[in-house]
Amino acid sequence: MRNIALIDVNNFYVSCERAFNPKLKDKPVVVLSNNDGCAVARSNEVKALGVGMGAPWFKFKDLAKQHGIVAYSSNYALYADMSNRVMSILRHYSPDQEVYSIDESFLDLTSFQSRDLITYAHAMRQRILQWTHLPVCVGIGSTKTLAKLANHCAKKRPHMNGVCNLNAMPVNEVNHMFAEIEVGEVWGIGRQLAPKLKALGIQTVFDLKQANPERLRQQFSVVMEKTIRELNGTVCIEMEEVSPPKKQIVSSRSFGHPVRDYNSLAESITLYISRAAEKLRKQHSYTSSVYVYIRTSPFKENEPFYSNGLTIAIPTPTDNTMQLVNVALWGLKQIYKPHYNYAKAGVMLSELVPVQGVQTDLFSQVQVSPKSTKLMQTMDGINKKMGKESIKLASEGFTRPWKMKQENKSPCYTTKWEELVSVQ
Amino acid sequence: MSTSTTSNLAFNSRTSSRNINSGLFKLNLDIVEAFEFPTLLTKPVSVSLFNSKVPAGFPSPADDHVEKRLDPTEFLVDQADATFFVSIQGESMIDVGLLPGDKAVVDRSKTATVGDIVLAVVDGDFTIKILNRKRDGSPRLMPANAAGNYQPIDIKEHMQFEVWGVVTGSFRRFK
Repeated sequence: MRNIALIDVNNFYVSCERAFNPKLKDKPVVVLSNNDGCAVARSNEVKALGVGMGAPWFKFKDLAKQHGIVAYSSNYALYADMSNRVMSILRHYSPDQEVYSIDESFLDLTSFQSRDLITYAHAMRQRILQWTHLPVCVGIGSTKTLAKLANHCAKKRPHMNGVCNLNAMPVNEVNHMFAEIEVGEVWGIGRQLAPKLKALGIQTVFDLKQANPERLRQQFSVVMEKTIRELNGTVCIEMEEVSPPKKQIVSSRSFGHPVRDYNSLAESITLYISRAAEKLRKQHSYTSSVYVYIRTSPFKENEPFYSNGLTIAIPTPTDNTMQLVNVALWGLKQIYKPHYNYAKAGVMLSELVPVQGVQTDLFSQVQVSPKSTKLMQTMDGINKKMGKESIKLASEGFTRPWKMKQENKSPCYTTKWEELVSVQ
Repeated sequence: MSTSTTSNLAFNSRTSSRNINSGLFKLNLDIVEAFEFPTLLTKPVSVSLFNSKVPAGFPSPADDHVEKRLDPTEFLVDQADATFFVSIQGESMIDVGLLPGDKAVVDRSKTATVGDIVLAVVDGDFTIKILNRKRDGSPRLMPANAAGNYQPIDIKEHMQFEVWGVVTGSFRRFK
């Protein structure tokens, strides 16, 4: 049986803010999206006040005043640095890591199953809390879908102390727990599919687990079938495979031959970014976070293993290939080590926002120049007509992004000398 | 024969920009900074290798000492993932060599013991002091300034108290 863990930072952005501002402890805290549009992270106190995820700021401004909610603008430089710390610490607990988002990571713990995995997970939690001040929850299951659910249970059930290992629980107990969880909580079901499933009488996670996968595939899609099989313990979604639409874009590939030199890696990263940026523009989104990773083959036992990745924050969301390539190559330079046989590289764009959601600042330069948009449209157009990669990037000519308007951004405590915490 | 050098963001480019008249610099900050790159303190920044050619076939004694060039980050930082920097304000710790404006290295991976310089949180405020303990076992934070302008802070039960991290070093620039 596989032992797949999902580690997730509780209320990540809010927890980052709290780490450097002790006064925020036990206070209702909310972090707003780019340009202070809507709530993207809420402390438990804010959740209790009924502020939903994505609630527009202007709609709960009065409530905020009334209850003393402290609102922060997004500080992506801080979040990216804290994310890198967490991911780097987790890498010590298993070489098989999939950074799933800025605050979530899968770890395959199958080769560690001779240990007591609950103790192992508690050690992880304890270390991340001590080293970074960030609270995390760990869910373990035999598939990624189950690991996600286990994480949900670890978070919602205080008696579990932040760790839930479904593989260590009797089946009837798991079923009993699943019967109490609404079907919409299952990975990939969400708000859109949940009502349709409920119309068929599938109310809870347990109902879905018991459902007939083939019948539901006909009514929905093959993804639904996979989800049901995963709920029953059959691995259908491997590590490093899936990405939910819209939330992030992944582009990666295993190399035919091992790659050793920086230039070849840089070429492939440039290519992946170009693909990912194309997808980004196709779905009319901007990204504000680029993750780049490289690794050697974990299967070659006589060769040294190396795996590393880095998240880089972009202050102004963009869909510009040139900017993104620049950022990604900078990241690659930081993690590249010579003399390894690299087997895989990839990039992930996350923190996606719809183009319409990005407001321009009245008083400074335009956010995204029409020229840049036009250029990208032309590039995509030519590539569509003439075949992929007809127009490629040389490593030059990138325009600087502009700072956005953020009314209450916390200092970049970990990335700017001028903004360190001052202590008496 | 082979020498590779890359500049370290944390110590070269950043610190040089720090010296620009701070008032002026702040004005420019908004347009100057294109990307806010995270500092990577784990990464060794420069490598130099000795590899001497000796025609007679005698190995050079230097070949036994292939070493990396010294890197201040390595000297100051033990656990990069758990290390944070803070800026010293005030003179409560000058007797241990922490002057206003110094950068203190705070390591969260270490467990504080009595006598350590710690970054503590007292009722929501950060403070750097020497960790001590009273006879009844309750913590006491000692300043280090013989002038006597600073009083020890006794932690009472109703107070919120946390050792945020252990101060393991400090650094400053003169120019």
